Amino acid sequence: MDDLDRARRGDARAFDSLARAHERALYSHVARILGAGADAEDVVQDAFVSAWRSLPGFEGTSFKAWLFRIARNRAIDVIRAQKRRAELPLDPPDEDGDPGWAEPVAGGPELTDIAAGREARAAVEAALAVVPVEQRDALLLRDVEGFSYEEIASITVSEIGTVKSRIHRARVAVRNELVAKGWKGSSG
Amino acid sequence: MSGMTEHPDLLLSAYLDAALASGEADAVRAHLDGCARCRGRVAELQATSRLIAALPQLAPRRSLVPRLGRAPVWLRPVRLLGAIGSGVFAFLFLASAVINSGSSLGGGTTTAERLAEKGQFGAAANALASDAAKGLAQSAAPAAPAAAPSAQSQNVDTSRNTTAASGTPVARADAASAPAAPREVAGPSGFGPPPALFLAFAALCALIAFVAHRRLRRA
Repeated sequence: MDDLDRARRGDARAFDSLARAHERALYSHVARILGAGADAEDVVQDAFVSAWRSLPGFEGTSFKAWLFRIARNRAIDVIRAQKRRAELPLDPPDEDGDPGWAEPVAGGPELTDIAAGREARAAVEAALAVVPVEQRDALLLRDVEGFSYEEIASITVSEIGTVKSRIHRARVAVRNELVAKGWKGSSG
Repeated sequence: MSGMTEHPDLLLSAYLDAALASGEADAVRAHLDGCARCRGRVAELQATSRLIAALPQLAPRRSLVPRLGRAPVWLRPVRLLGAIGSGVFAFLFLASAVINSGSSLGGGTTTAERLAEKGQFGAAANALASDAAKGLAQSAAPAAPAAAPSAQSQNVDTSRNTTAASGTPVARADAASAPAAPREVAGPSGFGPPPALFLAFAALCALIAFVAHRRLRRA
């Protein structure tokens, strides 16, 4: 019997072990949606409590995907509440057209040659921050957490076509932001 | 779709992630073979994806895992009382064992004498004997088996002594001054509860303390 089975039967220690295994990944994801700090911490903690209470009814196969679904839904609710107060939409409506491909300026390093150093990390974090929330969410679930498109569709309660579109748009947006900061695209 | 004439820009990320149906993937692959522009875009999307994947995990400032198995508040006092109780009963066990062994070692050579001494000590424990009474009881010790009727059935010599001594005034005085003595002498262990009982209580308290401690450590 693994930790998930024991946790499902009410073993708090087994759940504790599961939660600790996903704590940082979950916080990182929520912090990149909401911004690092108390809000993201509260969302993750609430998600754990909610998961513990709902665990007896959990019948899926991926505990991680289920946990991410709970946490990202709470994070989206927080953003919606914030935007509602400011009377702003969560994201601009999804578009079907080409997101646009920015032309690089000469002089910067090529994207394909960027080492994952501190400068590159800061630039990528900054580029991600300008991507609309639901696109960023889908891209992070894919590139950072490695979920399949089907799993992302389940986590975000979206159609698979929407997931494909969001991931592509977000990836192009990050690439365009990096290019706008001086990185040189390999095709440029 | 194999005759793809337009650039399949919107499919490039899904192609990169192997998320296209096989027919679509074949068509995109065929297009890429003859299109340097799209190959370049795929390379940049892949580089972007790798940069995002290389982002480090962020650390929260505090633990976010709720303490779901928190122990009930009464568990700490139970652990403390269990530990104390275990010590007290262990002490009582040792004390009673020493007293009993001491009284049996210091007693007379016959069963009747030992029983008499135990009867005398019971009287003293009940605060019915003063120093003078102790002396009196000690001097009456050989005659005291009169207060231990059970001894008559255990030893023929005892019954003879009892018959001989029962008429003495000293034995009568002892019996009168210590009414509780005959009841205690009648028991198999003499003074108070048997030591094994204290030992059992000590073990029980230690077990309670141990279980409470384990539960507190898990919480």
